[in-house]
Amino acid sequence: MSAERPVVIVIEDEPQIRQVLRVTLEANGFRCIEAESARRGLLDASTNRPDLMLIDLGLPDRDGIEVIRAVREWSAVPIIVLSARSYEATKIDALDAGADDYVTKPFTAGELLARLRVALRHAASRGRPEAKQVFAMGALHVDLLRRQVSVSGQEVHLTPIEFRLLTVLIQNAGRVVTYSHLLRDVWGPGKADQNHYVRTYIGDLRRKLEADPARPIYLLTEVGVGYRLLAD
Amino acid sequence: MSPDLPIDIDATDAKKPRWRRYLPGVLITVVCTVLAAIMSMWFAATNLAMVYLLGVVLAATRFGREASVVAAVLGVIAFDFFFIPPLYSFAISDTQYLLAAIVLLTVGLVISSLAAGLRRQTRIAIHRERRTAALYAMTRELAVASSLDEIASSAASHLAQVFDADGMILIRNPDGTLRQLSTAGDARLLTSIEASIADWVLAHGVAAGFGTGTLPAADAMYLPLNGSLGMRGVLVVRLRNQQRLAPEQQHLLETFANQIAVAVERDQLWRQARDAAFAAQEERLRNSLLSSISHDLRTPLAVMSGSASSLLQGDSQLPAGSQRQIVETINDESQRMTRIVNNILDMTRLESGPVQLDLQWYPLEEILGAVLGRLKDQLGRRSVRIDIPCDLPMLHVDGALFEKVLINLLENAAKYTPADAYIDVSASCEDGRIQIRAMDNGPGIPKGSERRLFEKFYRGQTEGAISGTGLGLSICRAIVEAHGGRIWAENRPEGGAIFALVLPLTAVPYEHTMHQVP
Repeated sequence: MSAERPVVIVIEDEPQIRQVLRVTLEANGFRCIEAESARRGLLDASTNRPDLMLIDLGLPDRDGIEVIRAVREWSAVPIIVLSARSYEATKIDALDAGADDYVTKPFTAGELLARLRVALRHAASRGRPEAKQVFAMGALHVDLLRRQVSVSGQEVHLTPIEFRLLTVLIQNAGRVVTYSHLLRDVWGPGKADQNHYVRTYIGDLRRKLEADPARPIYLLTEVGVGYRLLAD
Repeated sequence: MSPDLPIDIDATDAKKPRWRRYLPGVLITVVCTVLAAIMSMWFAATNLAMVYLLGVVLAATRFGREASVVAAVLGVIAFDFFFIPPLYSFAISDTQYLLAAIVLLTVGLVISSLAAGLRRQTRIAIHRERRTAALYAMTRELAVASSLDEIASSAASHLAQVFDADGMILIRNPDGTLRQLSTAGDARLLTSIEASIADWVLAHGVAAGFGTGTLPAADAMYLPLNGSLGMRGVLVVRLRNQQRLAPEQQHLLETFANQIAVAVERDQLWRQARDAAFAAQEERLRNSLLSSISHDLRTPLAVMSGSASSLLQGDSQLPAGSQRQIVETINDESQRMTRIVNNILDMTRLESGPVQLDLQWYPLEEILGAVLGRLKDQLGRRSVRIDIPCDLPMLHVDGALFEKVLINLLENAAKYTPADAYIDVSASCEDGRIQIRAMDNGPGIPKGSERRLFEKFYRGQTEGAISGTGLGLSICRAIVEAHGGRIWAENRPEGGAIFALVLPLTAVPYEHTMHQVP
């Protein structure tokens, strides 16, 4: 457990995919601990204090979502889900169970590493909220403290709800945020199943922030799951 | 409803008390005697016998055998008593009078017998005619019945009309059990059906129950429905007045049962034939899928394994540029294979049963934006122009599935157009429907194949230059139709293809009620 090399536990039953993951991760400065079953993975997680976990949803001995719940009972370690299923409901279940993000198989190395880095950064900043007073990405500049938003230096006026929505997305920059997460954090509890509110306001937000709202470059859609604010 | 047919051929006569059947003969003899008494002033006594003969003919034709026999016998006695000397005695003095009396009696009896036979023949003819009409009416209805339930209900209505009976059909399942067919107004019958009798009838192919030799204590008749290729089921008939049927009627009922059996058999055979045709078509599709998949998967697989093995063999002798090229090829082919496999999985999922739609409200812009982001590489330099009116209502769709529709349409446009083509995506809302169109300025669609494009495994170009399973558009159609919409393709007059789809417009729920911050 060296300080420079983050430890990643990979719980995946397919040896070929484990091998690809190990090669990719070790080449990019991670230390990789492999587990071929949920039982083994949970054991490794409790003894190795990992910085990250990669969990496949289709494990032979236990459902991946149950593994996420089990880990969440005692740890806030970032969890990225590897899923062969493209069913959106499964992704949402995994995120609701406590996963930080997901990667759909087959994935590219770039995609996987980007998710891992965002998750690590997010975990690192969890104890220091003041670190995120200012968000800058491309032409977009947001000062959360002063509640100022500008695109290419031009100030943009946002309604209170739009600003709140943007704040939640910035707090989770780079990660997918589900509709229910946004509804809960922006509108408060009791507004579940009102996903179209979120979509309406995201549409408004895009019209104000994006150069071409039909081809967004900051506020990306994960259809059926939620939104992802692009982070560098 | 009262029965149409007489219960028996002689029933109308048989029902009357005996004396009423003889009475007309007596009365006719009295009338004949009065007439003969008047005529005796002008005619010889032997001629008066003719009057009695007329009376016998009348009795035979109008009142039947008993009346005519009575008229013949009484006529001879009256003739002898009143008109043959010595008058007012039964003695006959002259042989010519004896002859007249004997002729009168003989002719009278023969006439009465002939006339009664004629009457009976007429009745039988009428009866047959009615029976044929009843059978014909039922057969005609059964012939046009398009389902077992229709057969059951027309059989029940005819049984009620002709026999004053409740009827129900029990159909034989492939596993040998019996299944009721629903009919109207059979509640009482349903409760009284005895499964054991029905099973016995099915096993033995012989009628049982009420009015038969087997288990006559039951209150319904169980007739076998015997088709030409085996037992089809059991017809249960319960007579409402609970009286035994006459042999004629029993016979008619059996004919009914045969007709019903023929109708049931016809329906079942038709269904079998249809299922067989369907299965054959499925089989053809499966074969076509297999050949398509094996070709489409083998090509990228061959490229990948070839590339990888050349990397392994060449080791470091290959220049860095070639190595990179080979790796890029592997990457491209693996992505192509991913698309093919995803399409096959989507199609399997859509076809495995009714699709569960996760219907939610989406702005078209949002889904289109996600699609354009995903297809960035495939679209390349093609310019995509978007024209969506800002007041377009939200779509009520399954987001993930609808995304697949747009992905497939735009992917197709990218596949079949030159690298510098343009693609126009537009939307409009009219007549309660939302129409979305994707147009390009590529080569267009081959004439006549606008419909076939949406069939499984159909490809615009038959040679293998353009890869794909030919599933993309059929996936689009399955998804759009699951949403209650329609998708079609046409050529633009100025060249290029248009793919258009309409979705029914659903009212958007209270859209902007949450502007205030809680």
